[in-house]
This record gives sequence, structure tokens and C-alpha cells, in this order.
Amino acid sequence: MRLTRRAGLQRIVVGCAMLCAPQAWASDGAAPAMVGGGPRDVETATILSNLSQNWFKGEWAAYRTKFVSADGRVIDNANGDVSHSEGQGYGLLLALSAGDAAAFDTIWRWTAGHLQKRSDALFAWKWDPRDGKAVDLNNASDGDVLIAWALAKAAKRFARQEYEAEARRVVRALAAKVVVAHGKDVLLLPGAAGFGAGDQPAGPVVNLSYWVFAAFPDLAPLAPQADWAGLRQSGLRLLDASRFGPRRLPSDWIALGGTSPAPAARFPAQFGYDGIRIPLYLAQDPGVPRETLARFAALDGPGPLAGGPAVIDTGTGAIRQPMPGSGYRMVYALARCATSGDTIPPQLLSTRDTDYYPETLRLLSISIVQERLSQCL
Amino acid sequence: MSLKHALLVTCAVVATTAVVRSQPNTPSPLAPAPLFGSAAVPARPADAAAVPVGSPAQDGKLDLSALYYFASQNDLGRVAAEIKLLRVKNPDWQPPDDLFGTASGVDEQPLWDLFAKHDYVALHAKMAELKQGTPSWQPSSNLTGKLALAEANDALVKTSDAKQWPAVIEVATANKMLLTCANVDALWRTGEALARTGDEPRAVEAYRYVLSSCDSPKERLATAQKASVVLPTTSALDSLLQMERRLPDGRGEFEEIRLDRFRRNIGAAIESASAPTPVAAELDAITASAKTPAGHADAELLGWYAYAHRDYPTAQRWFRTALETGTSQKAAEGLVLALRDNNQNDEARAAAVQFAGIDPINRKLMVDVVAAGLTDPAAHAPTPEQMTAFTQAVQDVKSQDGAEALRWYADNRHDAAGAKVWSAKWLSWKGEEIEQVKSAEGAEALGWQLYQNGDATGAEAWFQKSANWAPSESAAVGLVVTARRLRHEGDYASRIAAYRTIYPRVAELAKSMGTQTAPKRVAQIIKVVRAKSVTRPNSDGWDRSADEIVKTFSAGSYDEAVAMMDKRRLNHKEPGGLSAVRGWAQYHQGDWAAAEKTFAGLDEKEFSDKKREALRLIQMGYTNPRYR
Repeated sequence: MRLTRRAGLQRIVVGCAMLCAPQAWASDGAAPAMVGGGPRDVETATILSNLSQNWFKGEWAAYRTKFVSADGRVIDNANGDVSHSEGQGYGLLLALSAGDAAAFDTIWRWTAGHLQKRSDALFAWKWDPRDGKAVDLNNASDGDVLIAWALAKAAKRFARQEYEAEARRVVRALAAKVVVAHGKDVLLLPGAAGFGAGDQPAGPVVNLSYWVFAAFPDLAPLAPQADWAGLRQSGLRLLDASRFGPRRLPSDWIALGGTSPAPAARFPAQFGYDGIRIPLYLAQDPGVPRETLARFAALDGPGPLAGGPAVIDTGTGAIRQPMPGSGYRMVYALARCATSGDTIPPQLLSTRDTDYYPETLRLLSISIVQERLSQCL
Repeated sequence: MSLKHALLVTCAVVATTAVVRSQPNTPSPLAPAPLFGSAAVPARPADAAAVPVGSPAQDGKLDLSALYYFASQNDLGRVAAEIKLLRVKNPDWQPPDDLFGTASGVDEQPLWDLFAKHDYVALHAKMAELKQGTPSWQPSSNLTGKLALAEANDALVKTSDAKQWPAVIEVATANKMLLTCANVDALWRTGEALARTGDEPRAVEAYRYVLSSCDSPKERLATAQKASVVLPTTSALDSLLQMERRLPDGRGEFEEIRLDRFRRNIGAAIESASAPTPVAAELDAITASAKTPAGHADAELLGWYAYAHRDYPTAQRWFRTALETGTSQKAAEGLVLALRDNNQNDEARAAAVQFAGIDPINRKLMVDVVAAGLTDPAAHAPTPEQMTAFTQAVQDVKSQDGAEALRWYADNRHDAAGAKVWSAKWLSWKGEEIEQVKSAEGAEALGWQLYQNGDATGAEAWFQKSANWAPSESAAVGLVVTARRLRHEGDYASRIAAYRTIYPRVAELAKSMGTQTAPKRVAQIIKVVRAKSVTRPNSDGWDRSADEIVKTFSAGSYDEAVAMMDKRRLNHKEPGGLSAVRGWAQYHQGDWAAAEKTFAGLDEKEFSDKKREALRLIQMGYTNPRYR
């Protein structure tokens, strides 16, 4: 069932355990410290960016060895070695960042061959090795977005036109099935089935960590019939409007049928393993207002929750469980860097996680650093 | 002043403070120990303004060791920081482009797999193979850096395990990046090598580096412990111990080490009167510790200290304190000895019996103490329970002294049957002991004793054994006179024939037999050869304490065996055989230099084979296994 997806993956609750002591940088109102304007500085930034891309290839090689099977299946080792459309999408994006055309192609072939089993071009969200097949044909919209985005970018990067054709099929299906108008907002329904106004109490229900903000401008030309700019704006607006409980955090799942957004009734009211991706996707998009990201960046650092990222109960503000793994810390360090220019603690760069999910987040964060934030090094 | 300005000023103050705090002489945990010249490694970019780093080295070239080191650690963050610093100092400088390897199409994963398996030989072979297939390929500097460091670490471990101290220092000097908090073991090994080669100041620096830069409590404690063993001077150690941090309970983290040193000083004073007398502060500290619930070992130590000073009442008090918290073999032994030596014989006997069950050593002591009491006319008679425990123990350990005492005790009480039983047991145990060590001298002495007591048959058997194990004139004479007494004429004739040409006294015996003066002459000859046989074992200094030492050595207690020999050597000449034991004990202790010296000092004639073999083994140990 789509509804139990995250529960099925046993990432019961998500959030960040770091409360925000006000930081000096957060108070002075200055723009993030970018590499200064001199030509030397620009050159240094270029050197560091090139360097980090070289280095990233090594990280990717280690990731591929550990989490990607020879036939291109990205394995969630902490959840019974299942695979999902989200993981395939991440695998494609990381292969792309490492410039690994061969791995990209292998992962894409497995994805198309094993998950693209629906009547539309969207992907079954979960594949279980015990069954040897896709076990739930419902889609997960974020997985579809990630795969389509990776295909669209790979078409240019690797000069493979067929990837763009594939991307177009997926994006058109997304436009037709899950990008929907709701009042003044444009929403990304989490799946083609089960999340609409009539499917859930106070529906529709959305998951703001499905908004891959940086992807939407790249998807827009492939299906101009949908309002991608509106989708992006609605995501930012909903983030701003969803501040629940003493920590003013959005819950992973939010019901929009009431007068204002509220934690969805059928899901745990918590900011957890889903929500951690919100700052990641915000940091990826250079057009996101600084304040929107700063709110999440402030979760990192000293304070009563300085013990590290954790799943936070949005009702009480209490920590439900810690989220061990340097990948989770890395997301917050990235957010801080993007808002304040703070360098990323070196140990986060060099500490690999042993589980698929945090290691994926770590590498995604690093790929964002190398692509647009080399001053964070 | 606007709020923004106020904040900026605050930030500036904070920043300054931060720089000052990060500036003191304590090295960064990331920088290697500056034992062999500074490597100028930055701790963090924030230090750039305050601490000159990445500066041109003496020869005008940039020092890139930190850069390569961080690259070898795959540490992108620190590599980036280092590059920024280097470019601030030298704007035109470009980093090498192979820091993290370049996209060559060669998959390094198999190489990393071999690296992970520590199979560096196969790794080199595989690299050579790849190079042949793709001549343009270069292994990533990450790989070559890590490999070089791993191989250097291996060399460091190997040379230090082999106690090749100058080689250790050579490896460390050439691979400064080994000497970081990430590899405290390498710092310890280097520190020991420096100390062993007489470079105490730099050895102290190695330990000081750990204590000022590294945070692992276990490693810090181990560092202080190692320093306390390795550093020759007290002041050097003291300066290190002063770097201790406070534990959450308020105690210093090195307090135990300090106490250990006091304990060693007190222990040395117990062992030897010529050792420096412990100062009052040391004794006070140990006394305080002895009074804590876990202080029984210290109570015991103070007991021995008092015992060594013949302050028996104090010694008794401490040993009793030690025994309050549990049984302790040594404390029980100490208590019995302190009572006995204070002439509290009844109490000594009672305590000896009470604690006899703790350990064979205590049981043996009980046998000694009770036996001494039995043969002391002035002592009170033991209780029936004590007698039962005693006779049981005498039989369990086959104590000859105990059997003798019991025979004497039975005699005194006109218990002829009892005396006979214990006499027989004594003989049987004595015989067993002689058989066990194949002691020709012991066999011969026992032969003469039996001969004297009129047991010619028993005597002949022991003379035969003695002659078989080691032919001697005394045993030959014994065989001749017993054959004569037993009227085994055939044996008599053949023995005379066999021995007369070898031993002058057998020839003399043969000549005087049948003459008027024969009995007198025979008695004279027996006296002469017996005297010779009794003095022989003493002439080379072998005695019962030497046997004890050999037992200790055979049990693998090398430290203890050497300590026993050191103690024994104060009053007794050390026989060559025992010196050989000393050499092997030293060898097993790992003190090869001392072992080499001991073996070299062995008598060339008597021990030529053993000596050569031992020296060869030691030499082999010193040699790198690769060149053996």
C-alpha cells in the first residue's frame, strides 16, 4: 500500500535533533559568504570544484560497489535489500554527477525493465528481491520526478537523445496524473492513487519532501501543459504555512483539506526520514529564498538537541528517535553552508555511512556542493 | 551603534578569542607530532591568519606534505582548506591534478580490495599489471599515499617488535604523517625507540604530543603508562604526568600511574636494602590507598615493607588488613612469616594451617612451619586438628622434611611403628625426587646413607643408578663394597675388573681386600669418596633454590625467575647452568640485549653448543624476517 510506504521502509519518524541556537551569521543579515570577487578567488573556486569532482568519483565508486548491483539495481540494504523508484532516481543522479555514463545506462535499464510496469510511463514504487518483481504498482511521485530529471540531464550530458524521449514520457504522465490544482495551489500528489480529496481525511494529502525544487525548471519544457512554476511556488508557500508544534516544523505528511495545512491524520505527526530531504532540495535550488532554507539550517548546531539529527514529534517537539549517520548531519551542514557560507566539517566529507539512505543523502549533498557551493569546502 | 554593528563587533571579539585559543603551542590533533622537524600542517582554515602554514620550506619550495597527507586520507575538506591556504600565500601556485586520481578508465576497486586485505605484495603486482595494460594509467595519489603510509606503519611495527630502535626512528623520520592521534601506537613505538637510544628529550616530546593533542582517555592513560615504563628519569615523567586532566569524579586521570610508581619504589626498597628509601609522601599515598575498600594489594605491599624492616607487628597488621577483603596467597604467606619471625610460633602455626588451602605455596609453608615446631622441644604440641592437616599435607606434597619431622616426633613418643612408616615414606619420596631429576649425586648420597644403615641391597640399586646417570669414583666404590657385603662374588670380581684401571681408589680397595687392615682401609676410602661426592654439587653452586628457579622458569614465569636469580645472586655464586636459565628467561622476557650478554658470558668449554645456539637465535631475532 502506498500509504504505508515509509512505515514499510521502517523510517518511522524523521527530523532533526538540532535546535537552533541563534548563530552569529543568522543575526547579521548578511548574504552567505561567497567566494570573494577577485579573479584569484574565482580561480580557487574553480580549482576546488574540479578537485571535488575528481574526489567525488571515488566516493561514487565506493557507493556503486556497495549499493548498486551489477545489473543496475540500487539496493536499500537497511530494508531487506528492496529497491524503489526513489533509489533508482538517486542512483541515476549520482552516476550523472560522477560522469559515469556506463553505470547510468545500467541503472536506467534495470529501472525501465523492472519498475516501468504500469499502463502509464510512471514507475512502480517498490521491488522486492524475495518476490523478484514489483510488489506495489502504485507510483511514488518523487521517484518519478528524480528519474525523469536524471534522464533529462543525462540526455544533454551524455548526448543521448533517447534519454530525453524517455524523460518526456515520464514527465507527461506526471503532468497528467499527479500535478493537480487545489484552490490557488498547484500540488504534487504523492501517488497517482490514494491521496486525493476523497481518499484521505481532510485530503488531499501531500509530502513536501517530494518537491524536488531544482528539477521543476528542467521538467517544464518536456510537458509545458502543467504549471511547473506554480508547483514550485506552491511548495515554498506550503512550507512557509506548515509550522506545527513548538518547533514550528512541517510534518512529513500534510493534509490540505482544512482551512490551513495540518498534519495528516493517517500518518505519524513527525518531521523525520522524509522531511530531512526538504533542506537538501532547497539547498539544491539557487533560487530558493534564503529565509526558507535558514529555518532548517538553524536546526544544526548547539542547542538542546545538539545530539544530532533525529525524528521529531511535530505535536510535542520531542525527539522520538535519533537518526545516526553522517549523511543526515551532512544535509544540515549543507543547509548551513548554503545560507551562511560555513564550511562543511571535514569529517562529514570523509565519513562514509554503511546504510543506503544516509549514504545517499551524503553523496547527494556532496554533489550539490561540488556543483554550486565549492566555497563550502 | 546599530544592532548590526554591535553584532559585528561581538563577532570580531569572538573570532579573535577563537584564534588566540587555537594558537597556543599545543599542536593540532591533525598535525603530526613535530619530533623530526615541523610538517606545518594546518589544523583548520580559521587558523590561517594566526599561524603561518603552508609556508615555503627552507629550500624555497612549498611544503606539500600536509596536502598529500590529507589527500591520502581521502579528506576532501582538509585538502580544500590546505589548497586555499597555499594559494593565499602563493597566488600563482596550482595544485597537482592527480590528488584524488584522474579518470583513467581503470577501476581501482580491486586494488583497494587488496589494500583492505593488507596484501601489499599482491597489490604491487596488480598495479604493475594494470600499468602494463594501460601505460598512461597512474594509481591515484589516494591509493599510493595510503599504501606508502600503511607500508611505513608495517615497517615501524616490525622494526619496533624486533627492538631495532634506530630503524624505528629512521622509519618515523621518513614518515612523519604516521605520528598523529589517529595512530597513537606509532607514537608510542617511536617514543620507546627514542628512549631506548638515549634520546630522552624527544621521547618525552612524543608522549607530550599525545597528551596535549589526543583525546581518547584510554590512549592517554596508556601513553602515561608507557612513558612511566620507558623514561629513565623521574623528572621527565613528572612533567608528563602534570598534563593530566580531571576525571568526572575529580581525580586526576594519571593518579593510578603515580601510585604505581610509588608502589614500584616501595617494592624496590623491599627487594633490596640498597634501593632508595621511599619518601614519606609516597608511603602516605599508598597508606591512604591501602585503607580504601579496593586497597588490599597496597596493604599487602606495606606489609612486606614492614616485614623487610623487621617491624613484624606492623607487618602483621597490614597483612591482616589485606586478608579482610578476601583471600590472598601472598598476604597469608606474609602473615605466617611475620608471626613466625616474631617468635609467635603458636599463632604462626595456627595461621599457617588456616591459610594452607589457598595455594600450594601456603600449604608448603604450613608444612615447614609445623615441621619446625614438631622438632622444637620448646614448642607447644599442635592440636589434633593441626596434626591431621599437617600429616595430610605432608603426604600430599610428599614433603621429605615433613616426613623427617614426623619420624622424629614418633621416635620421641616411642612410637616405633609410626617412626618406621615415616622413615619409609621419606626414603620413597627422596628416591622419587632423585629419579625425577636423575641426580647422580643424590643417588650416590642416598646409596651411602642406606649402606651406612645396613641396607646394602637398597644401596647397591642407588649406586647403580648413579653410575648409569653419571659415572663417578664414589659410585664405583659403592658398587664394589655393596657387592662385597652382599657376597655377590661374580659382581664383585667384574666390577673390580671394570673399574680398577679407571679409579685409583677401586684399585686400592682391590689390593687391600683380604688383608688384615681391610675393614679400616675400606672405611677410610668410603669416607674420602663420600666427602668428595657431598661437596661436588656445592662446588658449582647448584642448590635447592636453583631447583626452585628452574621450576619457576619452566612454568613460564620469566619475570619472576629472573627476579629470583637476581636475589639469589646477592648471596650465592650462580652456576653456569643457572646462568643459561637466566639467559633464556631474559630471551623470553624480550630483553634480548641482556640475554645476549648472559649467553656470551657462559663458559666456552662447558656450554659451547648451548651458547652458540642461543646466540644464533638471538641474532636471528634481530634480523628483519625478510632477510633471514
